[in-house]
Formats: sequence, C-alpha cells, structure tokens
Amino acid sequence: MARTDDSTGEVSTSIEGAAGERIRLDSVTKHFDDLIAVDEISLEVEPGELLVLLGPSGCGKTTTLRMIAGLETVTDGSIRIGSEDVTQTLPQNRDISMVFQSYALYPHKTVRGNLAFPLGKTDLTTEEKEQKIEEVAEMLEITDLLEKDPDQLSGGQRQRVAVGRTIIREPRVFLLDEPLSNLDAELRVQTRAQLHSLQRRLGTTTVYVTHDQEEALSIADRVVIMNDGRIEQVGTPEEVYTEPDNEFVAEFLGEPSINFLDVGEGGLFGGEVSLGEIGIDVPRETARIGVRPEDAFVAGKQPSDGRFTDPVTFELDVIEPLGHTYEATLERNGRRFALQSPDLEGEPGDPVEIQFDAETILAFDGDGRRL
Amino acid sequence: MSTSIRRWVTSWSVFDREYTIEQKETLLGYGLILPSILLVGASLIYPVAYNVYLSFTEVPLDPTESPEWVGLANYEALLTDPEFWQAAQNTLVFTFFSDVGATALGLGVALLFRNKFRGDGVMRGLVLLPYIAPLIAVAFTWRWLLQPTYGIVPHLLQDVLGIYSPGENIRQTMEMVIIFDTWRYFPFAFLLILARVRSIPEELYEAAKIDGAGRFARFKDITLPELKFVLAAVFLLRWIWNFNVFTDVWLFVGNNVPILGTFVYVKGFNTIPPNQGFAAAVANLMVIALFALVLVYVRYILDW
Amino acid sequence: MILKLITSATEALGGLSRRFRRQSIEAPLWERALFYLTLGVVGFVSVFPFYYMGVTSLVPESWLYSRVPQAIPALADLTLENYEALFGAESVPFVQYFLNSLFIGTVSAALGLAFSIFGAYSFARLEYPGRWVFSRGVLVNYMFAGILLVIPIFQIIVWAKLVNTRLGIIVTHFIFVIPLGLYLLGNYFRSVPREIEEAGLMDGYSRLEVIVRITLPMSKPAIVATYMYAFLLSWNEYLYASVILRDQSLYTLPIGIEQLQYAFQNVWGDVMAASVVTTIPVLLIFLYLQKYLVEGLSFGNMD
Repeated sequence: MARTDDSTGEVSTSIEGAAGERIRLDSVTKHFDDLIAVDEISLEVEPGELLVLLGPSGCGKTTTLRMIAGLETVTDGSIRIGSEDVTQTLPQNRDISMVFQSYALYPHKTVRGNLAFPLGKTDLTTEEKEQKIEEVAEMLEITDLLEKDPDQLSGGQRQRVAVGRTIIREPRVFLLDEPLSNLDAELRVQTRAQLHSLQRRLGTTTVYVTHDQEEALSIADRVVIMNDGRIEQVGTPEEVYTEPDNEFVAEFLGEPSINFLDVGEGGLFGGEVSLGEIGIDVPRETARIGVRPEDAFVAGKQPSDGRFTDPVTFELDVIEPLGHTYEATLERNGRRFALQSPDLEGEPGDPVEIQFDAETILAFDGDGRRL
Repeated sequence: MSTSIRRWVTSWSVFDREYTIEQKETLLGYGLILPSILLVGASLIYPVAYNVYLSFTEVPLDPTESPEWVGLANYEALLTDPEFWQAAQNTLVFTFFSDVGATALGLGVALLFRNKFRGDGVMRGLVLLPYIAPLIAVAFTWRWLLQPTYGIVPHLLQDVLGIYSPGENIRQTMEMVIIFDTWRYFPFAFLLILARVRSIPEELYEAAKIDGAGRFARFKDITLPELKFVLAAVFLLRWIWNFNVFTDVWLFVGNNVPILGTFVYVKGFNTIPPNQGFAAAVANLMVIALFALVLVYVRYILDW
Repeated sequence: MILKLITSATEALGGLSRRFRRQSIEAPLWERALFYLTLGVVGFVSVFPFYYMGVTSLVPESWLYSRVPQAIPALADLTLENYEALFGAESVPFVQYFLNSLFIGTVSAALGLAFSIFGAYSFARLEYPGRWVFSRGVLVNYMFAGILLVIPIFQIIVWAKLVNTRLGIIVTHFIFVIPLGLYLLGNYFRSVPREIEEAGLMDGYSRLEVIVRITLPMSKPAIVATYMYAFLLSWNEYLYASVILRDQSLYTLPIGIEQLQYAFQNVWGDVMAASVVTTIPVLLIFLYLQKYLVEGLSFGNMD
C-alpha cells in the first residue's frame, strides 16, 4: 500500500520506474510517398533522462516519436532500446507506453478500467493489480474519479488518467506526445511541474514532444530542436538557449524571440553604428548579430556587473505594459527591435537609447551558423 | 506503390525469416479479409463464369448427370423466341419509366422536404414506408387493392371514374407494374436526393432572390445543377436494379407482364421440364446488356 | 382514413400558426396551405396501402367480398378471426413459416456479421496491396443481384447437396450479406479514432485483441445496425428461398404468404393478416435504425 512519509510528505509506493534504458536512433528516416518527414535522424537518449523533441509543427518530431513507439514504420535506419533492435518489433511488444495528445482514453471503460487495461498483459495477481491501480490513482490524485466514465471528466482529469495508464505498467520508456497542449494555460504550467517531478521520481527514460519552447526548456534534461525532418541542435536547455548552433535555434527559443541585426560595412544599420566603437567584439565574418530582448537595457539602467555596449539609439514604436515589465518594439532604419525592460518610458516616436549586454551577443555568419 | 512492393519482396531473405512490420500488417490484413473475399468471389465470380458455361449447355433434370454441351443452341433458341423479345421490350419500357418515375417523384418529395417543418420526422417515416416494408407484404397488398372483382382501386377507376372499361384486369398491365415500382422505390431516390438538397447553401438562393430570380428560375439555375450528380447516380442505381428485377414483378403480377427477370425464372424453374441452360443464356445476355448500358451511361452522362 | 385527415389537418394548422408567429417575410398563406396539402397527398399515397392492409386483416370475409368495395369499416365490424385462422391453421403452418424466417434470419445475419467485421476492419485500418480494389469490388457485387446468378448458384447448391435444407439457405443469405456488412462497417470503423486503438497497442495488446476489446465495444451501434440490416435482407428474401426450399415445413414467410393464396378460398383477409405480421418486426427494427438512415449508412449510398 502507499505510505506517506509525514515528514517529507512524499508518498512511497510500489510503483517504480523500470531501470532507465538507453534509446538509440541510427539514421532513422521516414518517407510518406514523396514527402521526407524525417531525414536520417541519429539520436541517443540517456538512461533515465527526459529528452524533449522540440520544433515547429511539421518538423517531424511526432513522427519520430511514433517511430520509437512502433506506430509508424521506419523507412530506413534502426531503433534500439537497451541492447535490443526494435525496428521491426510490433508496438505492443516493445514494452513502452505513450500518452497521446488527445489522451485516447477508452470511452467504454471507467477510469478504473482504463487504468487496469494495461495490467491485463502482465502476470500480476488480481490483488496486485488492484493495489497498483490504487497507488497510481493516489499518485495522480484521481482516486475519487475511479468509477467515473471518461466523458464525465474535465480535460485536466483526463490527462491525468492518460498519464496514469502510461505509468502503471512500469514500462522501460515513456513517450509523451504534446500531453499539455489541450489544457488551458494555467493548468498547463501546474501539470508540467507535476509531470516533471513524476518523471524524476520514477527515473524512466522519457521522450517528450512539444512545440512550446517554454515548456521544453523548463522540463527537459536535454532538448532536441528539430526542423524539416532534421535535427538542428541537441543540448541542455541552457546550452541551446545561450549557445544556439544557428539562427533557427536562436530564433525558435525565447519569447519574445531574438532580435537579428544585419552587419554590413563593419557596423549595424549599414555601417552607421560601428561595431568596434560601441564595444561589440565579433569575428569578421559575422553577417548578423543576435540580441535577445531581455539582454538589452535602457541606457543607464543596465545591471551593475557585466560588460555592456555603448548606447544605440532607436525610435520607440509600440510599448506594451505587462505588469512587471514593458515589452516594446523599437525601430531604426526600417528594422524592428524587440525590447523587454521594466525601466522603459516614453511615447511612440520618442528616441530610446539601448545598451546591449556584450557578453550574450550572438554572431552568425552568412549561412546562419553561429560563430 | 511499386517501390513498396519491391522493398517488401526484397526484404524477404531466405536465411533471415524476420518479417518487417509492414509484412506483418499485410499478413494480418489478408488474413482478415481473405475468407470474406473468397466467399464473395465464390458467390460472384465463379457463378458468373459458371453461368456463361451453363448457357452453352443443356442441363438435365437429374442432378447426378452433368450438363451436355450444346454450343449456341440456347442462344439461337432464345433469339428466335418471340417471348424473349417481348420480355426484353417490356424490360426496357418498364426500367425506363419506373426509373424516371421514381427519380422524379423522389425529387419532388425531396424538394417538399427541403426546409424542416413541424412533423418533419414523422412525415419522413411515413414516406419511407413503401421502401422499407417487406416486399411480400406490399406486393400482395397491391394485388388485393387491384383485385379485379373486389379490389377498391378497380372499383374506383372503372365504376366511379370511368377510366378503363369494366371487366379489364387492371393489375396485369404494364402501367400498374410501373406505378407499383415507382411507389415502392421513390423513397430511395427521396433519401439520396434529400441529403444533397439540404446541403445546398441558403446563400445561393438568397442571392438569386435579390437578383430578382423567380421560383422557377431558381429551381432551374441553382437547384438542378447542384443536384445533377445525385440525380444521375440515383437514376443509374435504379436502372441497374430495375433492369434485374424479379421478385417485385413476380409477386405482383406473376408472369402476366413478362420481363426478362421473370422470363429467366419461369424457364429455369417454373416450366416442366425446366430449361436451365436456356435460362442461363438469357441471364448471360442480361449481364452483358447491363454492363454495356452502364458503361455507356457512366462515360457519357456522368462525365458531363 | 378520417383519422389521418384530421391529424394532418391539425398538424397543418399548428404548423401554419407557428410559421405565422415566427416569420413575417415568408411564404403567403395560400402557399403554405398548398404545401401542407401536397404533403398530405404524399403522405396519403405512401400510407394508404398499409392502412388498407391493416383494415383488410381486421374485418370478416363478408365485409371484403361485398358487392361494392369500401374503405372504412365501422368499428363494430372489426374482428381478429383472420389472425386466429392464421395462427391456429391446421393446413397452413404459418407459425412454422414465421419461426423459419426468424431462425434463418438471425443465424445468417450473425454469420455474415462475423465475417464482415474482420474484413471491414481490414479495409478500414490495414494497408496491403489490393485493398482499394477489394473495397470497391464488393459494391460491384450488388450490381449482380438475384436473378442473374440464380441459375449457377442453384446448381452449386445442388452440387453441394444443400437443396431443400436450412443450411443451404443460410449459407446463401449470409454470403449475400457480407458485402453489405463490409461496406457499412468499413465506413464506420474508419471513423473510430485511430489513437484509441493505438493506445491499445501501446498497452501491450495485439491488433486482433484491440479489435475485439476496443474497436468492437466502441462500435456497438454500428454493429447492431448492420446486424439488423442483415436480418432484414434475409427476412425479405424471396427468390433464393423459393428455389432452394422445397418442403413446406421449411418455407420462410415470403414463400409462405405466396402459398397462402392457394391454400384457402377467399383468402385475402388471411393474406393481409400474414402481411401485417411480416411487416411489424420490420417496422420495429426501422424505428431503431431510422436515425442512421440518412446519415450515410443508407443502403446504396455510394461514396
């Protein structure tokens, strides 16, 4: 039975994740007739880690996930889980489970029935199954919903049942396909944290797909940024955010997204603002620099430590108060610059002087790769 | 398609009996459908072929004897048989007029139902009755209604209204068969057309009204074109079914208004001795004629 | 008949007043009256034969065979003697016919359903070469209805020594039912959300198990509807039954009713009573099915 440790409030149960397994994708490719959905993806998921596949819709992240699940066949390449090549193994035999975006609960069963269904394929006795159902229900706080039908549940409740169904069998891998996108914003943040701590506790290798970069960065051990069927970058959330490999990654992460300023004639704005003069130190091949909205400060209001460029003048175009800060769009020479600062004042049309955090400026070459 | 087949075939290796997922799915797919396909094929392809064979034979009464090949004798016989030609003519007349009738009546009633009204559900149920009731029941009811001596319809038509002279058997006429068939099957046309009619966007009509189009113009220029396809489909479907009809006519008038369907039945089962080879030949010609008509129809009319 | 007029008149008046209240720009009064009148005529034409069938079954022979045919019996004339004759008859085993039809219908529908369920699933979800051809091909089957194939099929039944057996007719009926089941269920299975079946796979179940434990329970309404369609196909079938069944004890209702006219003199009351008995189960079934009829499960809705 589940026991609550009164001092820490942690519930210890018999539900444990299976020992983490490594997942390996080798040049995995998927063609749908003429369309190349996934193009030679090679990837390794460390045992026990929560790996997030992140990218815009149509980038192949869900297809990749479904190939790991076995719900899509692999056109080329191989997939291994642990030491086993599962590329041609039927999905029901891979010992992995999945949370679907639509939750896919069985409408003709109660919540209890939904949770019990995966256990039908295990060797547990009836009492053991009952016990597991009780524990999972307690873990996910759905105990009072056990006898209800799925159509009586709210979206958040359904989601928890879907998660419960996924973990109850203690498979060696969890797969989650945009599990939060059907929840409203507030619930999403809350549930996200719960999923994160659940995965931590169980320690099962998890592959998680989302298009929401904030979600990805907050829960991932590592993130895989995908675009157009290919991997753009793999790294920890910190790595991909502060050291993006290319402009796509830099732009995809961060909200509001990063500002790009063209570099030409040795300076910004067609040479008007010389890079060297204002304190920007970048390689000569730089074609564009990237500055994140939160790394630019109103002149004179920058943090005390750190290195900052000299002020650059823009014209204020739009200013939006967001409570604790302002989001503004600045403009110069037809170029727009997004700024996020609590110190901003002014009317549209006013000149604004901005200093960039020189240490976080990203430089990109002509092909969009970072230097 | 061919690349997947090629890949599928080449992935079979003599030494490695591991099947890919695609192969497993294919096996399952075939496994699930094959029994049905075999049975249906057995009940369709084989009989059709067998029918062709039988039409060149004379089938003996004794089931233990095999049919005796007679070449084209059956065909010669039937092509020179005036009963056959009468039946063929009747079939064409019947098929055409009952098809037109059912389609037109179905269209009319569908238009009536175009906008929902109070009691719409009940009325729809009533209108469907002729189609869904068992054929045996309605056929015999019509027989009774048109019974020469005691039936209420002949009484009405002959004694009260004066159409038809007294003493005629009204039931056993082509008109009545056509009317019966029209009555029986107009709900089918009605159902299909109604679904389509109700999906014509209201804006088309409103725009036309604003442009000053009168009721008839609206019908001609909006409704009819929108319904073209479903009307053609209904007409085709009913044509196919009516051309092949047997039970409807047989139960209503027996062999008194012979059509090809009843002709086959009578020759094959109802005469002494039955001549199944001959009947098979007739059935064969019906298949060919039907195919030809359908092909012509689909090519020239559905592709407009 | 007067009852019908009264109800449709009140309905018309009700409808008129409701329309009047709601819209002012709509059709003028005479148009609406014409509409309801036409509707009434259509309804009358559709229903009258059934009315007459019912009336004929409920009146004594004397009323039927009078000099001038009438349409409306006085209430006092109504009697159940025709039904009594039918169910008590020594010379006409009507009850036997009814039971035969019932038995053959339920069994052939069940068998047909069993085959079609798996075949339909195969059409709906699985990929393999030839699938497109098969699924269109089954509809071609219906072009060859009845009379075109009766000779060869009869010969096959003879060869299989199934003439004059219930098995013979059951086999014939259930094979006819299969294409219908494949079409109806194939359409429906396609509408079952893929992800729910995939969830079943991820939970460790094989495809076959998923079909049985997830897809089928979720498809109950469609399965029931298909079963009923299949049952009706068998219940109404005349041609093959008449050709295959020879012993009177095996006759189904359609043949039985046809035989009735040779059994008695002045038989119409009984024939109509038999027709009523044959029709009522059909109407009951259609009451259940009627919500599906226009929504795309209608027979012959090819797309």
